[in-house]
Amino acid sequence: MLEAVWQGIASLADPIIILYLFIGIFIGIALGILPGLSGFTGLAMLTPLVFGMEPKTAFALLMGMYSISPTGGSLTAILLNIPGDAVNAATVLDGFPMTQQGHAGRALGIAFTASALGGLFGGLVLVASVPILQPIVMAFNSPERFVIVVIGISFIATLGTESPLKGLISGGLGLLLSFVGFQGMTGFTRYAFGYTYLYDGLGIVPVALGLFAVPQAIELMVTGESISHTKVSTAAMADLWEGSKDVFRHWWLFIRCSFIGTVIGIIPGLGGTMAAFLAYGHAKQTSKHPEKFGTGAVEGVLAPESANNAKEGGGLIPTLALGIPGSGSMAILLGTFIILGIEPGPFLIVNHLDLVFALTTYLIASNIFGAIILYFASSQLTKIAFVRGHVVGPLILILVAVGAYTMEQSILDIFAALVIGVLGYVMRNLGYGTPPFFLGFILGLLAERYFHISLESYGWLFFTQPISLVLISMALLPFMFKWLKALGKPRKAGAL
Amino acid sequence: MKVKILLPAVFLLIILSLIITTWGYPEKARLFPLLVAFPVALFLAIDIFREMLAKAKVSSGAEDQLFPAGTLVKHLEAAAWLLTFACIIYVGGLLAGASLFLLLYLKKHGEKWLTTLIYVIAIIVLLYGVFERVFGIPLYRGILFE
Repeated sequence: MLEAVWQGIASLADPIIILYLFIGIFIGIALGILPGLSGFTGLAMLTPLVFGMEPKTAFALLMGMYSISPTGGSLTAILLNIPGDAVNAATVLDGFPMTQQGHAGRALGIAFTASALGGLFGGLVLVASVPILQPIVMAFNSPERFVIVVIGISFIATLGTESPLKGLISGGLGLLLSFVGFQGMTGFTRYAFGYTYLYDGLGIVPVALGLFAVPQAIELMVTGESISHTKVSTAAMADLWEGSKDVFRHWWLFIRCSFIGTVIGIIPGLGGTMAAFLAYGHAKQTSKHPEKFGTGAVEGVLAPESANNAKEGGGLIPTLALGIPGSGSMAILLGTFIILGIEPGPFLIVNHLDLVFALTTYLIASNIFGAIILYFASSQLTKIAFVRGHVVGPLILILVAVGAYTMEQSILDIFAALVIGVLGYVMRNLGYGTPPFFLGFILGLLAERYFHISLESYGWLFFTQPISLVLISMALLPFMFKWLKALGKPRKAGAL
Repeated sequence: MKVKILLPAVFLLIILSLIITTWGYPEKARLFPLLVAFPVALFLAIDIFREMLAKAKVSSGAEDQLFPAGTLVKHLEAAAWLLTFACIIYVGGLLAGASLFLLLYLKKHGEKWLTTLIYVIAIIVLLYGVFERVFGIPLYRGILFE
């Protein structure tokens, strides 16, 4: 095994592999920054090109591109309130307020460092877990997956901006929106009302852009002010370094959130958005100052960014070891193995162990190299935050239109993004909050699928399975702890 | 009726009509949506009730506004620009429409010709160069040019 590890690391000495890795990194950064395009899009676009390539070269290109795209997406999330990809949606919650307060450089420093180290964490877990993979993944069946999704949705209340009730309403509305269209299990079309556009349901990209970017564009067009209200020096190296130090100051939170990201990555079907929001919710729940979340809390950027990138290493675990793709991107990666003539599944670890470790090396290397590139380029990129609102507002609208259009190439996606954007703006102004809505929308169909499978297999008490009970207890513990703490505190004089 | 009550009331009406629609679906298609819709309807009713109680306690409804005071005209202007944007894109496509929209918007807001042209050229280079040429994604041409 050690020989295979060394072969994987040594492959980075090949100049061709390094060249393809860096091409991948630059494409990944560009895809991450451009709203509507993501590592998933990149994998779909690049996979046909790798046919006939030497496997390690092909995976250097693909992993270089795929691993760094969430980090690129954090740039626009922090500077413009536009999540470059759905996985960056949690980063906007505190990243963008930091930019508004003139701390864009610090927020970027946190994001880049947490992403690079999170990627390293996920990669190392992947290496360490190779021998013990199969029993862990096989223990999580539909009830456990459903419970994990419900735990994710329960964080909606935590994420609600004004009150848990409004957060739950927002999340519920998002869940209901996700049911629009063709239901895979029955072949029945719901809530389409005869509109063919709605048969396939609303796309994640138009909804994400509509909920997060359009309200920002409207606000900029109304106020005409720059995104950052504080005129301080742009992302100087000192600010970035301060952000990096924040990650080390909160090292225990970083470890926990990276662990959450890795575990969510391992469990097939949950995805990076779930990892980021779960980590964000966990950081808020365990913080001594949860009221600061949503207003520019350092931990609010650190948590989703570390989980985002750690998830990639975790996602590779079931893909490489069992041939079970953890996400749509991993499914494409699985297809790449077949294109390159390699059989995925448990035999991959037996027959191509050096390739497994090479892939892990590229994952770690692209996270570190990509973050370094972004670290030095961000001093210029943060200047976007100081451009006048009358200029940035229409530019955001144009990027929203292009981003919404590119996935399905439908003009109706642009209109959908604009309509959802107006709805998002109204909801935001009335305290309902758009992140819970988006989380509900993302998790809706997944929750429904796991629910039905669990119901058919175990009946209505499916959530009493041992692992499910442990997961539910773990999710309830922080709430119970806070409740008990509140009970123990003497009430302030005059308090209700 | 105040806006903080009006919005949840509209949502509640929509959810109730969705529940009625869902009732006619096959069992497997309706079970989970109904499990979600009923609690959401309940939460909305509680929200409306709470807002009504809050309104009864606070005599002034100054904070019960969708937009900050004095920004209604600016919001109407922004809404008009959004509508213009959608129409221009639909008619002229993403490349021509977006460039024209940017030109009109920036000139209306007092940008200098040179700055405006730099931004317009930059957006054309981004859309055509990056999306169409590099990524090979054909952009929407609009009903005028299709």
